[in-house]
Amino acid sequence: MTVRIVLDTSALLAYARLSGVAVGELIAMVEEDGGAAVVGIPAGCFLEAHAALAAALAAGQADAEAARDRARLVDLATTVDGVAAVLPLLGADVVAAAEDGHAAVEVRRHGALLATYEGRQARRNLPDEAVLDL
Amino acid sequence: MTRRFSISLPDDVAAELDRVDNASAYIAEAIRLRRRHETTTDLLGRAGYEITVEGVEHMRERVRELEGRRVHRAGAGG
Repeated sequence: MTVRIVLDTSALLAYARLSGVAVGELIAMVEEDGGAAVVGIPAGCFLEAHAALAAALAAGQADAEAARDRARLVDLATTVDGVAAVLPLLGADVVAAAEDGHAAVEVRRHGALLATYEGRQARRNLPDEAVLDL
Repeated sequence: MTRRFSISLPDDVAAELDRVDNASAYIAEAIRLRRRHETTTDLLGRAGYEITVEGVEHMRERVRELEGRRVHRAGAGG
């Protein structure tokens, strides 16, 4: 399995909220390019995004919409035989993930690109050419 | 686990299999790719995304430009 693109929390939230088409285009691109490449979802980022969507739901903000957003995120992460794969957080990486974020750890591990809406923050921990601004 | 099948194929498709060493592996890979495509299309459709050819191509150009820069930097020892 080759991880070509890593989605951070901002990208996952945008996908879940339908607030931009870029992540969908990335998923379609990786699928079209074939091979065994996948779009990686760091477990830490999934947890953050899920918590943010759950908090919106708990706060009663447009219940149906918040539930749909969360379902969209879960569907992305759990669809079998798809092009997205959840990347586990390894014990040896917990300190680096706590300091730089799990997404940065996975980008370094796989030599992938980070897809993010927070490029400025991401570039504190990654080289410019590893960051794809959405 | 594997299963054996006896199948009939059009001549042009059968000709493809004449060129490969392992026809079973070739067919299995083709089916996996087809399944991956259908799964991804279904996923994006369920989510409510309408993906365009132009949008995907534009994204591909941006990704390849960055991947090229990464390879160049790695080759330069950066």
